[in-house]
Amino acid sequence: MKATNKKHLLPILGAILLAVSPHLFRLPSWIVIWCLAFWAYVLAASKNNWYRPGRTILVILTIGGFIGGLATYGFKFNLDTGVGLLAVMLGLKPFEMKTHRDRMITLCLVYFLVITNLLYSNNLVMSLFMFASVLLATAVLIRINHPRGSFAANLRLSGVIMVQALPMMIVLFFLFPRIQGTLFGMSNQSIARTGINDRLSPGSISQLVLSGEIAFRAEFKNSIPGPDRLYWRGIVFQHFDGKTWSRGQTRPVRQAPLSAGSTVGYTITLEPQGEKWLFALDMPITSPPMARMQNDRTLMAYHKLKARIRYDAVSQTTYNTGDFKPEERKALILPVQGNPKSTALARSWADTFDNPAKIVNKALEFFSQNDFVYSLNPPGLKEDAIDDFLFKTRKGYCEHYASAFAFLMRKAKIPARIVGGYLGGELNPYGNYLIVRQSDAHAWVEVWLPARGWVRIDPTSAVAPERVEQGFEAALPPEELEGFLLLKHFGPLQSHLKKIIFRWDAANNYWNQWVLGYSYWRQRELLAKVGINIGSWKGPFKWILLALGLISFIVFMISMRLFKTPVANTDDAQRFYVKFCAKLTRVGLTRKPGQGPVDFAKTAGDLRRDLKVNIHKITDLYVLLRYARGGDENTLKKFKERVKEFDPKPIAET
Amino acid sequence: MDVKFQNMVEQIGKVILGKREQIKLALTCLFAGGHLLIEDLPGIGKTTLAKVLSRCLGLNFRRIQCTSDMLPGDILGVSVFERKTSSFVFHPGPVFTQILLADEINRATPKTQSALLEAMEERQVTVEGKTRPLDKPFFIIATQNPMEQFGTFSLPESQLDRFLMRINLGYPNRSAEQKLLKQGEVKSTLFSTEPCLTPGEVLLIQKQIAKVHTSDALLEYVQDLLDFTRNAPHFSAGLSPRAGLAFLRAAKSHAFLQGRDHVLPEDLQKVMFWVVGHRLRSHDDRAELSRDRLENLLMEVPIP
Repeated sequence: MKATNKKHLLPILGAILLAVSPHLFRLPSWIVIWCLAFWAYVLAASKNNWYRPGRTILVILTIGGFIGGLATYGFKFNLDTGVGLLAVMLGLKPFEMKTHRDRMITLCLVYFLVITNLLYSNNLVMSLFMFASVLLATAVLIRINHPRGSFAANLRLSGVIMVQALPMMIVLFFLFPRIQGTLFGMSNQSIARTGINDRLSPGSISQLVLSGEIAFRAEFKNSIPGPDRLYWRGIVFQHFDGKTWSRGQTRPVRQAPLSAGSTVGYTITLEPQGEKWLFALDMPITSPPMARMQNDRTLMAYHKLKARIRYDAVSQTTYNTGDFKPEERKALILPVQGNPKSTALARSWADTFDNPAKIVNKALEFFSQNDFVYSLNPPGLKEDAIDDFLFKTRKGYCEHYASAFAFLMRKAKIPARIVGGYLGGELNPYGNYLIVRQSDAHAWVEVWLPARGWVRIDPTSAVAPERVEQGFEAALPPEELEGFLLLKHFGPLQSHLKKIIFRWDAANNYWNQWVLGYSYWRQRELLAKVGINIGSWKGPFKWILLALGLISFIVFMISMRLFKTPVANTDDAQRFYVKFCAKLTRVGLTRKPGQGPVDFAKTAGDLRRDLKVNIHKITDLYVLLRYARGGDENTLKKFKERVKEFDPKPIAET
Repeated sequence: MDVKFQNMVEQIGKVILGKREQIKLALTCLFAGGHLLIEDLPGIGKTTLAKVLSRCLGLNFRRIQCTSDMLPGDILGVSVFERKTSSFVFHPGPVFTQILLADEINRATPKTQSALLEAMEERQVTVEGKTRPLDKPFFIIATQNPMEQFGTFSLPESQLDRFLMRINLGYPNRSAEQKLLKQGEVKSTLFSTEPCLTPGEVLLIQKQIAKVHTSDALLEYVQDLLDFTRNAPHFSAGLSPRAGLAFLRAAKSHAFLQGRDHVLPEDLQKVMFWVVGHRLRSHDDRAELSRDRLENLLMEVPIP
């Protein structure tokens, strides 16, 4: 193995390892072992001159690894498969690294790998990590091309290059066309799908409590409304089949503004949940550009949200939705069969009271006065789930209460529907915005009352009023929280930890807001301010993108051709030629500074006929390297050897 | 190419005796696409060299004998009113050819000399507001008597700069002159010279010469040479970028005619005096520098 390869192996492996490290946690374990084992072997083999697999074995390994990778992913082609196969091939790549060209290709692959990380995550940590990874890869690139100085100096130069690239980065950041939706329509398997589902059944919300993931962040233009008004509306469940609530049909409408109440404006940064609904405070009165308001006053995006988005919204926290619309009659429909006890109870209320408001109060009283328990781990419910819950188990989370309450209301001929969303949120003092987590997921009920329209009723608050005021931690019995890693377990460290968590979240929020939040819509807005309308450009834009792609492809092909015949370093040739001339000076043949190599060879060769052949051979090689095209590394090697061997002896005095 | 080139040198050498170096230089200049200025005393063989060159390259040849009463129209052509068609018809002058021999160019007035400027640089002429392209290839071979002669107008520097090379012939040596005297008049040998190339081949060679490789190290040497003429105290003014380009072009042509596809420092040195000599003046008396002095000066520039 060549010494240069040995020298460069470790830095290149280091760059690969750093670039691939985030993937290591996602990859199947055999691929991780595959990669690490091969790399370790290559490294050890270069040190101890062990056996290196030949072409045949490499081909077998490549094909085997390829099929193995495909099999692991069930022969489905998606993002994970692609990255997995890339890792498999990367494990073998160092075996092929023999020439400078191989090393360059491997490094290009490292840059590619760094980018693939973005397909999974584009948060602040990942971006910082990518900077570090590119810094290392560039330093290695410098190293293998100019193997001089310390590695620290290479790193410094790499840093300088990256800093020099910053202005370009900023320009591209602002001007490079953003696309709507995901790249190539690729679906990403790994983006978290926790979030509120389009079906509501016992357990569908309480399972979210286990997740500390952030659902969205909300910044208010003015003051933040009180906790009893922080109901984040997401989805309305209209249809009930006896066990599960589902969304039912909605249609987009232009909703008239609501009467009564002042407005509150805010901006939401929504994490991707893979669903279409956006969240807004009860009741939203505007819809952001990427969504339309539905007739149940929810905001529905045009596409499933696979990337973080940011939107402005305006809501009214006190409102009156006005008259009952005929299409809202489905808020009364229930299955005919089942739950006889609950049906009887609701009928009895309907017979006793003539005012729907009174029925609502009666029902809430029913929840608060019978010993219902707010719990994450309710016992399973049998065939007549509502009966079972209301009269037997009496233990449940918000979805149980909302479901039972809506059922009772509908049986009592009061239009009722369940709203799914989030309740409350945690204020981050460093940035003054609310963090709403998946654990804040909540379900509540809306009933339609004459003259007041749709009114929000939260049956959970009748059972556990603390849920509304202080969040789920306060509402749940302490023994149910034992499995959770909560801040209060940290004792005296608690306040410091909380500060750090808040500061980190604020940093992430700024990142989301200023970097990731610069979406197609933002860019459109910004460019519109300087008089460029992207919307009307769409056609030309596609062509520009296509042309850019084509140009970069051509440039790539040309540069690949350049790599093919590595041009020898002419400075090296010059250095050895000076050595050669110095050797001739020792025997009295001095080259004048302005004398060309061929002329000198002729003069010197004529003077020392015994050296003539050697001098001409060396000069020919030198001329080939320094003045002709096509001097490659082999010629340089030969030239260096010849110069080293050249040892003229002075003519003995006669 | 070098075999064909040797053959051509042989052919021409039969007519111009004992001047092989000058013949090679003249061919180098023409293949580089440059114009040639031949300077020497009368009767040395300037005109004969020009004629035999054009015959050998197989190109159309026209000749103008410059005199002090010559007008630009005599070279470029004029429009003449024709009665039959009642319109002006352009009658092209001798410049519409492939090789133009401007004999004793320094006898023409500056006005007439400058009429050639456009033709030399742009390879087109503008007569009466209309621009007409010239044939391809197009060379001007000019001859001149040294300035000391009576009744001449020395060429302006701007026009000198447009000649890629200036060569002088000098008296023949003893053996060559003996042969010449025995041989007598050369007219017959001149007309028996066969064309060695076609115009198409000349163009092709020019294209190949343009592709001759110049390495970075060599370009650095060219720049060092140019810088030297600009900064050294020996010269009144340094070489222009055009001169630099001409220098490189001549060196490429020289390398190609030696059968190489890359330029060596030696190529530059071989053509150096002939390309640079008429473009540089001494700082002290604004006179031209002798070949030895100039070459010694430029040999001080180390090859990088």
